[in-house]
Amino acid sequence: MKRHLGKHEFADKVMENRKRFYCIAYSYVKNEQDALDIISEATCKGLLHLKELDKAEHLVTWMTRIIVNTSIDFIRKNSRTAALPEDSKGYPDDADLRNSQAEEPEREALMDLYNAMDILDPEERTCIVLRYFEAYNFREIAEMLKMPESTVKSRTYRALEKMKQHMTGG
Amino acid sequence: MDAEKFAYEMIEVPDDRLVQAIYKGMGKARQLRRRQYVTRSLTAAAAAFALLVCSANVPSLYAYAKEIPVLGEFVRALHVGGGGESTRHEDIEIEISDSELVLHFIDKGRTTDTVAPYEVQYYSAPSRIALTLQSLTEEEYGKLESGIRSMNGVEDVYRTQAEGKDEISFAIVLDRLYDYEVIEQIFPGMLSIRLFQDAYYTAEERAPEQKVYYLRTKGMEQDEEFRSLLVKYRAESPAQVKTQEGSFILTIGEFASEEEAENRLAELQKNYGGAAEFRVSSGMAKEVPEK
Repeated sequence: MKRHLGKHEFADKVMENRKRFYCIAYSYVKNEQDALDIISEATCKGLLHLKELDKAEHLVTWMTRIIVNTSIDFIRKNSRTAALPEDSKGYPDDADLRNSQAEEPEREALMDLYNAMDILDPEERTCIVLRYFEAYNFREIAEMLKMPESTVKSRTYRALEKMKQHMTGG
Repeated sequence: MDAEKFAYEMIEVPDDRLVQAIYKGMGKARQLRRRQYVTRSLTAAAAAFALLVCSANVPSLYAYAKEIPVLGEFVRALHVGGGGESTRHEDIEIEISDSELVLHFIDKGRTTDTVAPYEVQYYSAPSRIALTLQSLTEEEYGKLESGIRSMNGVEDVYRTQAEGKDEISFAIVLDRLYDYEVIEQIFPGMLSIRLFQDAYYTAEERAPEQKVYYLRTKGMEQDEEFRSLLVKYRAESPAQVKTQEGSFILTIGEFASEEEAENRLAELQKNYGGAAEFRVSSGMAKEVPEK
């Protein structure tokens, strides 16, 4: 049954998950003030559109999507993202994926991975943040971002490959 | 792999500032909603205003809904009255957007849950809001006054004599075309003063000039004589008005006719052994007494 969330419940949930939300925003901008501005803006958007949230239980993923989108908007407006390489041919298809040599990183590799995220475009960064820092699975990310699971996978592996090349100087 | 834990270890979270940022976002949403609400209400209220003002024959400006959707717990919206509660704080924070001022009290870097005690009174000649706030330091008041001065619709701000030791009183002189409302909310604590163009202005009509009668004293410094008169006539709730030449007068009442004012003066003379300090005078919304 559809249950709308009240503004007090919203406030409680946002407060409860604030550090997690901040980490997501920070992963995009790597700057304290910018991350705080994103959280502020995302909170405002969340409240204004609270009635659009289909289920109260989905608040955290719904707010995560708002934070991701607000972060991407922020980066675009402030031109702080690294552009895609000039030889980019777009995202790989399933065949590319099957042949991908990219592997999921272990915990000890995460530090380098985190720093290497700066070379990614915002959409790729979203997949890395949600998959490896927020520990969502591909299906959940696909639902959150409202895109096919295959696209999420392709972006993720492509991002990992780019970071791997960057980290090995390739 | 505890990815979430990893992220938290990597990123230093400025928690106090983060909480402030969330409150700020909530406040912004509240302002945006409020703006939409007022815009919708203004045109519809114009006709009701005209009727109200003409029939009452005094500038009666307040007619908007008192309860509106806001974030945090809504406590009250008022034109005249008071609220708040003892609120420990070490600073204040002010947000100004055009004609709205939002006041937060800050303690240990965070917005407090409540707002400090306050009282609001409105006078129509000249049009002004008289505000008293408890437990405000001089420095905090300076910040507040400077914020209020930058609001659209504010003509002047000046200090008046406060009754309590822990209180700061001041008057905000409004442009004639502005009405106002004060909203208090808690969790987070927030006191907002919103000025908005009155219904006549919105309906592009000329508001009638209302002559208001009141009892007044001569112009004085805010000295011992002035303070003793404030004490003597405390039961009559005297208002303090700064004149054009910079002196202060005490006024009692606002009346629609000279006759009503004369009757009130007679009553005052009877109760206060002559009340020789007061006489009948008159003014309008945008008319500050000369001296």
